[in-house]
Amino acid sequence: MREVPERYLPIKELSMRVQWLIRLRWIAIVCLFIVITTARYVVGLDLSELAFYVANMLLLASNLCYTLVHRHLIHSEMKNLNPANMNIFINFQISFDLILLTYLLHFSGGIENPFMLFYIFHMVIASILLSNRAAYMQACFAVGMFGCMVFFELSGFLSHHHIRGFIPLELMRQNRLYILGIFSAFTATLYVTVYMTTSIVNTLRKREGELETAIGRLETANTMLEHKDREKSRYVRTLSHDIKGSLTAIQSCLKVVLDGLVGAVASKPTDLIQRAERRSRRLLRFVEELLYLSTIRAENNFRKYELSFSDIAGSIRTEFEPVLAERNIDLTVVEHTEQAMINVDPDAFHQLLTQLLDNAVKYTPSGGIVRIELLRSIDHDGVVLTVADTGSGIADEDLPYIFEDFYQAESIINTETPSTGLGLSIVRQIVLMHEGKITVESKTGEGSIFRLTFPTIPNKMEV
Amino acid sequence: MGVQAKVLIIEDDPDTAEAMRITLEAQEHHVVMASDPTQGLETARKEKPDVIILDVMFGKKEESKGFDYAVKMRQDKTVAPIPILMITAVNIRHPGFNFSPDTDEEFLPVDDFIEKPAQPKELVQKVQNLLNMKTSTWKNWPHKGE
Repeated sequence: MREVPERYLPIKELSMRVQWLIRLRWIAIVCLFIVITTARYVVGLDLSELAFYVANMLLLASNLCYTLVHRHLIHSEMKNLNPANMNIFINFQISFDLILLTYLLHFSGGIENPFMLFYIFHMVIASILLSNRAAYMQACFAVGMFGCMVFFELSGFLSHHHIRGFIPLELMRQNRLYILGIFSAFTATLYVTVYMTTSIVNTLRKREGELETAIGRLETANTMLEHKDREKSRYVRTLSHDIKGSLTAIQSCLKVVLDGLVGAVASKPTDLIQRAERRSRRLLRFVEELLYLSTIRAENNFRKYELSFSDIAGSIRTEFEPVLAERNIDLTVVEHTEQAMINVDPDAFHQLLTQLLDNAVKYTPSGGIVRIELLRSIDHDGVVLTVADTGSGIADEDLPYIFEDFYQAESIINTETPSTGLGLSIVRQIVLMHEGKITVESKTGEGSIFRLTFPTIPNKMEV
Repeated sequence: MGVQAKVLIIEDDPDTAEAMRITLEAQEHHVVMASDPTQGLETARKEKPDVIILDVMFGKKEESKGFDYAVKMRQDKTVAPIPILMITAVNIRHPGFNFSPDTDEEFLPVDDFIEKPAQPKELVQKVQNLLNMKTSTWKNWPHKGE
């Protein structure tokens, strides 16, 4: 168990508490004014109202000063504000409030006045805001002042102001033992209040401290995890890089043979070489996608620009033209927003569209339709991009997993159209890095619709 | 077919280089090889090839030395007029290394790009185009054009 040190609250919290104290005092000033005026002029009590108004004015003036001092403290010294200064400031406020309270009580019957309970509030406030020792000091100060007032009134050194019509008995002249009793109860109440409040506050502070430590530990763990994740991505990158270099060389060599540049090859070896070439090409694609995914995960350094959607769609269409013609698939691009501009990383967005379109074309039979649509989101805070196809669709049981790395739907594993299982991971990662969202709807045999939402508000940091 | 010419290949992967050499030699071009850009620049000065094929990446760390050397070649009086074909291995574009012929063409002093693994037919065609061009459009680097 950690000992609770003689503590100061964090400076920011102290400052907030001071503001709270000042606000409470404004309310007290208004209430006091109303009470005095009502008691004197409505109820007609025999009060020395001048003394009360003076006290109220003093309270008002002091609160005004506190407001200014507080403003000065936070504005000029916030950077290296000493919590000790703030504590002296709070100590002063409470002490001065206690003096004014004693003064008011003195002019309204002293120990006879039930408003002496108001000392308790001050003890609670002191216990919350100050160190334990300072709270007990304030209790001593309150008891001392109240005690002095009672003693001086009893001894005749100060005159006793009994309020007729409000307090039924004038205790001062009747029962000194009872006065002693009230005073003892009063003293004990103050100390017990401070004791109880500080105990509760200490427990809370300790919990707060433990919570902060726990949060700190979690944050450290999180940072370490992120670091590990980046390290892992870097590792995958280096690895895939080396593999990629070799695969490229294999491809180059096989191509030379297949193109007959080193002389004619018989049909059987050609078939095998073709297979080897196809596999190495597929593997190269896999490694490239893995490399790309690791890179964007490891280094989130997308550069976003305002781009015209039509331009990007146009260049994608050109790239896909041959395969679209070959597979007899119709590609429609629709823009519902006038000259839609999107705020994205050009290469990443190109990559994203390529992957989606690649999938759509791959799983759409001849004569099918692929439709790309761009529209404003319903709440106008983003753009929605949909890529829909009339392809084979995704089975319900596969749907929740299609964005996971390496996931391949059962139905496509053994088909002629191999997949790396990384395309949609890449798409999802790019969408996330643009603070967007991606959803998919699909029906087996009818087709799929991928719906991507991007915020239009440009991220200021990226500009 | 095309003109027989002298082609310099600057490429650090021996197998990729060999595949390109065979491809170009099948076109009866005379091929000179260099495995790093420093040596490549030397060879280019000495051999005065008609076309230079320059890989963009060198070494394990994938340093894009090819970029720097393309500029160095343009600053060299002897080499500056020789057209350069740059080999890029960036099929999937890398974030942070947003190299793309569409945009970088404007400041990279090379005359054409080919992606790795180079398809033999495409390689032959691109080399032929540069041979027809005779002089690099970047010979007055940093100014492009005639």
